[in-house]
Amino acid sequence: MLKKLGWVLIAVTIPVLYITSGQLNSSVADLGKILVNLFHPTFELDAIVERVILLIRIPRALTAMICGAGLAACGCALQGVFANPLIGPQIIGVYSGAAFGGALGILISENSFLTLSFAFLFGLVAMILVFVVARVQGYTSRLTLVLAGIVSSSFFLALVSMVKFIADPDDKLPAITYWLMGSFATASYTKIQLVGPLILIALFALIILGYRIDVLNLGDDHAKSLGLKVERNRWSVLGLVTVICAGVVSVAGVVGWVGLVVPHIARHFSKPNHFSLLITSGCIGAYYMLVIDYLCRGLSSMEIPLGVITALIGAPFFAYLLRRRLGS
Amino acid sequence: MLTVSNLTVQRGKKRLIQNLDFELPQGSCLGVVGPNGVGKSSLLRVLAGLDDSVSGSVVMSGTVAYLPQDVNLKSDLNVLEMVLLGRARYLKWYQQPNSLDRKEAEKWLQVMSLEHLAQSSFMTLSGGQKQLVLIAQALTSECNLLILDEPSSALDLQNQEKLFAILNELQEVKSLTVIFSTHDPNHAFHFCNHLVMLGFSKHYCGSCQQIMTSQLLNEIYNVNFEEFFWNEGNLKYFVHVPTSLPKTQR
Amino acid sequence: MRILLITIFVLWFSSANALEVVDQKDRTIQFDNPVNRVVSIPIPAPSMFMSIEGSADKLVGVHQLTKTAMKGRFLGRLFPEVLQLPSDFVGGGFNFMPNVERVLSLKPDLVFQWGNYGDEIFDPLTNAGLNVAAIKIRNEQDTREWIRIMSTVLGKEDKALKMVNWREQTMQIIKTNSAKVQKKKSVLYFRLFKNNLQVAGKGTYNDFYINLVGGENPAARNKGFYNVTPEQVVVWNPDIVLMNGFEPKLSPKNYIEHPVFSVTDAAVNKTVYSMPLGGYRWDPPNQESPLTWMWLGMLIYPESHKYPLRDEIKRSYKMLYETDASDQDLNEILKMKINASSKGYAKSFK
Repeated sequence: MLKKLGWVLIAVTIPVLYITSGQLNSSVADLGKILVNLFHPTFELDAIVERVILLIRIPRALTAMICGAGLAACGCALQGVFANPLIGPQIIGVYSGAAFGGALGILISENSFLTLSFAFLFGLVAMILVFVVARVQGYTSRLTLVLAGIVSSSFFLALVSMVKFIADPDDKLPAITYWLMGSFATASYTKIQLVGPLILIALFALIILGYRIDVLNLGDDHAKSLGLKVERNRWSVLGLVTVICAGVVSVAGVVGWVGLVVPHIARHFSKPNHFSLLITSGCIGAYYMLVIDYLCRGLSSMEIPLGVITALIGAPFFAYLLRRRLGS
Repeated sequence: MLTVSNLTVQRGKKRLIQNLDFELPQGSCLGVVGPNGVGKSSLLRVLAGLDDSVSGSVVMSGTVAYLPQDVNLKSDLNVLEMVLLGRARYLKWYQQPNSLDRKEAEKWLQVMSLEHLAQSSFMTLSGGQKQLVLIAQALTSECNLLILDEPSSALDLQNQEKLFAILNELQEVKSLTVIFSTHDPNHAFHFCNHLVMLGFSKHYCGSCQQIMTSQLLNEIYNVNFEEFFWNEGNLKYFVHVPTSLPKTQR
Repeated sequence: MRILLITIFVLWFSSANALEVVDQKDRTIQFDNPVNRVVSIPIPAPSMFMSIEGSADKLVGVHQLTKTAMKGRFLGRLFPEVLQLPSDFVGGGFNFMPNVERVLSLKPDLVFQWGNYGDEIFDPLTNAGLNVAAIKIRNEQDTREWIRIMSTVLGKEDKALKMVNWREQTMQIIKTNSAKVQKKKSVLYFRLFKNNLQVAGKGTYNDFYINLVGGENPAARNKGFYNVTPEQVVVWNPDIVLMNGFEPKLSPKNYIEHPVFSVTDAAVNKTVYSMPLGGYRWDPPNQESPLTWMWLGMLIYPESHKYPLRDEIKRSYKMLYETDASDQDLNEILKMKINASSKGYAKSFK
């Protein structure tokens, strides 16, 4: 009982700390007043503090948590479907497709919602490409899937280079470069409304499919023997993973390493079946991302790109996890 | 229950079995015997629906579960969760296993005498225990036909006896049909009603009594078999007598 | 004996007439013939070149984005022939990698190329036997170097002198006026605003002229151009905000009507201004920089900095481009329309 209370306390404290910390001084009391004001205007508040908390920090926190949960669950699901703990969402090509879509959107327009839609669209296209390339006579083996993912990734990464090549170095190119490194700086309620429900519903569906992922993990023949339609279920999982990743990239740019690292952390805290693992990965992912995003915006007056911090923290951490796993 | 007509099985480019015909009624046990490499595993895989045959047909009523020869499965699940996966056929994509499913899984674990390992991690089990867990899983999936590829290879004699006793009982009580392959002809002779004997470019089908003779065994295995009788002629054994005796016996 | 004297005379004569210039990589380039055909790979170089030469006659190849910056604006109307020049000798974006064969086919006497973006884009040109002048653009010193190099090549030393004197004199006047400033105001320049926020820190040219006119740059705590969060901008709460001239359709409105920034002092007081665009954008260093300094000084401290800006623009344009700029041209250059609702703009620059 006490242990559960401890977890709840942590679960509430971390977001509150995040929301009340930053370059602008603000306190938990401020947060409290703002929240109360939302229902019934009672308190007098500094307009700047109110706006920073309501319009910058809270949407950013929500976006970070949703994206973190989504990416972590995706990594977990992929590791189950491919029966390989070294897999992350980069493998199925959706990242590169979405990266290209976003870069293209920035290149050809000023409209950030066009950029978002393009990123999402091309993320899906990349997966469809994988589907078309890897499926032979109605069947996709896991190896073929990985190889097709590499093909799709490389193709879209080449297109990204192409976009960078023709972009105006004075305004478009820096914007594209920064976007490719990932950031929650442009988080807003509108974006959350557009993409949030999609990610959360897909995440929910993935968790429910956890049992079937366990069956898939046994191997194609074994799963078939137990009566599971392997192709259909595997592509359903991949489809949900694509939707989540495309959604994340469209609001935050390319953020790697979360899907790879967090499921490994989750394994220490969760029962080994995928239903539990996915839920745990999602929860840990949300908070992991929150902490990392704080480092991005709060370490200095500079805004450090998300992809940089996730890699700098993720890679060594992963190396450590690998060694522990190999050692035991 | 199972009707095989004019079946031709090949592995790669090589034709292993040509024009196989037999019928298997429900609740019976079929043994597939033959030397290594003759195509037992390939035949079983075709019967299980995992591979396609070159020609001919396999018609069966009901569901089938297949257990391969080697269990090289890596999973973090515990034994109970592993057996619970057998319920996959009966759960829609949005359904999670409920208490009835759990009870079913626990029941089969108990039947296999493994209930004390329910919470242990699957990977910590011995090869033989893993195989028994997977059989429990197959039974949890309420299959009508159970196909086992060389189940004796991983199990010690005690567990073998136990397993076949269980399977025999299930045959009688639940009309479970069993097919298994073995390279020990006695194994098949003692536990099966029907037999498929596979040799290189020849095969024989029929009931055990009919076709299990030392003459046919010699043909199939290309070595010398002799029949021996125990228990006042009630138990027949086929023993491989080598043509050249080992040094110590000369 | 005669032959010897003639030989000495010829040698002396030819060496006296030999054109030599030292570029920004400290390389000495020697020209056997006068420079009549020039290819420019860097984007802002043609603008300076045209201001020194007073015409675009010697340009035979320019970067695609040079043309984009000129189209529909003052310099494009003044020298429309530039818009027809070939650009296919270099990629459209940020790599500045030349297609050497295409460059050779234009038969240039001189090629301008960036000197600080790596040897991979520089050496292929020199290896092909071309005369290449390396230029860099970071600060005021670099601008003076450009003036020196280009005027030497074009034989316009007197023009160069005028341009440099103008810069020096203006700088001195501004410094004197800046010294009178009692209370310093903070000025924040947005190098990028639309997709993410990028500001100019210590050592950038923007930082230089903000300090020159007596202002304070809150972004100076870090060096160079870097990205910031909206929160950081709010904390800095600058008195004056400058919007860059690079991003199309960017105006003070983007800042003033921003949901978070709208409550900051600059938005409330409407002290947000868009950087003008004359012969080139006034943001980075260029031949018109003294106008930028005057413009900024008048915006920040109108009591201390008082200059007849419009007349100055007309006068300097006559000196630089040998042309008369109309009032309409000036309105367009100063972006009067875009800056119309910003505090004091119409009044200061009418």
